[in-house]
Amino acid sequence: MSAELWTRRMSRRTFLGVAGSAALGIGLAACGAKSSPVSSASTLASIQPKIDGDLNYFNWADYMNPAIINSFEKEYGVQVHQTYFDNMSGMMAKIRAGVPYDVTFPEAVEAYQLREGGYLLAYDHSELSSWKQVIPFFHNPWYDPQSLHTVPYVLWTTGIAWNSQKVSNMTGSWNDLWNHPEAKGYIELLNDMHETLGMSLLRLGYSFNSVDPGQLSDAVNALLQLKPSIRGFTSDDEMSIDSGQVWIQHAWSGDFWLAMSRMPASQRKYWKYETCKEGVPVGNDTMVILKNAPHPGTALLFIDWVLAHAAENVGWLGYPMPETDALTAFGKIVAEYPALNVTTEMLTHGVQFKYLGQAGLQLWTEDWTKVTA
Amino acid sequence: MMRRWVWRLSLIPGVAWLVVLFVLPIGFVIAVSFGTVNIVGAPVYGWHPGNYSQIFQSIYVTVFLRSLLFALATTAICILLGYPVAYFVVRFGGRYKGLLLGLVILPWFVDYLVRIYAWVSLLGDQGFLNGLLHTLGMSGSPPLRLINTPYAVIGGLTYDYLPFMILPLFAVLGQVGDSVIEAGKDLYGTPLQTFFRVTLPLSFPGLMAGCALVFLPSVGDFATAQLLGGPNSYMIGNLIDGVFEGGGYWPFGAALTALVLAVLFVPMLLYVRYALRGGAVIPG
Repeated sequence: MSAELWTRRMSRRTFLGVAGSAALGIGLAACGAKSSPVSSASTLASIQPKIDGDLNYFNWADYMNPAIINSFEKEYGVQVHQTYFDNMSGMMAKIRAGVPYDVTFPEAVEAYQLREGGYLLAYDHSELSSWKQVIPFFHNPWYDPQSLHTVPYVLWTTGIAWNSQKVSNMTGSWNDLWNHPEAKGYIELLNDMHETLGMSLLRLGYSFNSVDPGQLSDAVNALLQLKPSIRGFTSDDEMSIDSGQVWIQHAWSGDFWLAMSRMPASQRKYWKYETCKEGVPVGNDTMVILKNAPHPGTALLFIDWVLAHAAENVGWLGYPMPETDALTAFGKIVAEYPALNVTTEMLTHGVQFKYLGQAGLQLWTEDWTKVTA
Repeated sequence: MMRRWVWRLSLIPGVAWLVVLFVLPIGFVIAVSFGTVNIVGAPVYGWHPGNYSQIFQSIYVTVFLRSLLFALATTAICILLGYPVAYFVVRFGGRYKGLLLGLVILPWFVDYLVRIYAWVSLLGDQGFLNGLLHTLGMSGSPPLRLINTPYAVIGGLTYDYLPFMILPLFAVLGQVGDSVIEAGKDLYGTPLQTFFRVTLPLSFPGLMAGCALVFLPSVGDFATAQLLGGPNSYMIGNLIDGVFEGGGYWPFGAALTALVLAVLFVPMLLYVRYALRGGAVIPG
């Protein structure tokens, strides 16, 4: 009898204790609001282009030709300490936490957010000897007016890859994903909220970055209508193409190239890549120096080095960089697949990823989750 | 008297660990679910119950029920497969008991994701099983779709969590002892009756522990469904992961998480009450 009472009392006490701790967590969270480390006003920092220590490098894994990093280390006698992230969310979380990286690689939208949040160093780009090689579009991009904080890294487009042995009649339109019932079960879309929901918006004639609830609702319904025909959502389109498990793939340009470079010629001759007339999403990564970078001098020299060796990078990456030498080199590499080139026309009149705003982000997240559910 | 206090003190590190690294973070998640974000995506705490307005839609309820179903199926299969293994090793393992148990745990020396990829190469279109069918002249074109199905997901989950079922059963069956089973046979005659009247009831605590250890993590699992599942077999974990890792609106993901926690709290509470009530008492 007393054992019964004890266990009952114990479980209520335990429950209250646990609930109290959780409530404490909520309270601590509310009180311990982290303040942004810096103001958002950007005065030009003057960085001396000379080595001030080893480099803390924070990038995607396998996203730079190791030869460039090695040659930089040899040339300047420093070490490049490499840390990797798997996605933009992870990168942002670490930067918000103030981890002292020197140079990192946010995409355009994240670069905009970091700049607005005051996390990036503004510096005189004439300190970069290779800055004049960068094409004029990036001297004043939408995400960084006057390009005081960023240097563009890699460019990509998003399109459709297909196996012409299994599927024909592709029309250069996003409708090609919807209009091939014979490929049911062998179509994959990108597991990327902005790419896929944005693509559905483009197909309906709306803006790639629309935050109109009605338009988004139409885009969601179109994707839900397509859903029974797809095999799945993938982040590894390269593997999907190489494995032969898809006939039509919503794909990134560079991943298509990499998949082709690994494919035996007998299969490769059937694969094609197209960009779509309703709109070609063009994205780019950037190189930035963080405001709390412990070694901004080394970071500046590193960015300059990468720009100077851009032509070496593009062959290894499969993606172009917006420098004159690199674009020429890339054009030669992908001569077989001219659709993989990113032209100035695409940049100026193409579709760019924009920051959706907090309210827009909430709407998009809820709608995208509905699509993937 | 003093000894009791010493024992209680020894609980402090473990409890502190659980509170700081488990309970407090849950509190943070709930706080984030009522907040919003700033320009760089950092949570801004406040009162925005609107974050919860979307999560009760039928589409999420469907996914959540599907996750519960997958987890239940996984638990059931783990019992059917795991119980015989544990029983066999305990009763007939003899001096090889440790080795056999080691073999059960061996896959866990390999990283979780790599184990799922093993199933991808097993079940894939160009995988081992399809290759076997092809060699036997039994495959058609296109190859048999084994992967990206709900069955592949349940199979992967079962493979992954089976040791969690076998180990508690092994522990509790080990305590039952041959003498008790012999006594049972004397009383009940047939081995089958002995099993259902003596062995099974005595193994209940281990069975319940195994069920809890398999069911609760399976509900939230997402890596398995991501690689082995298709658009109609994604689980609630996939949706939450999609928000946090996919650059989504974190408070929404936190609200979904809170929903999962709230629902899972019920079976968890039931298990804790079962365990606190003492479960079954095992004779020495």
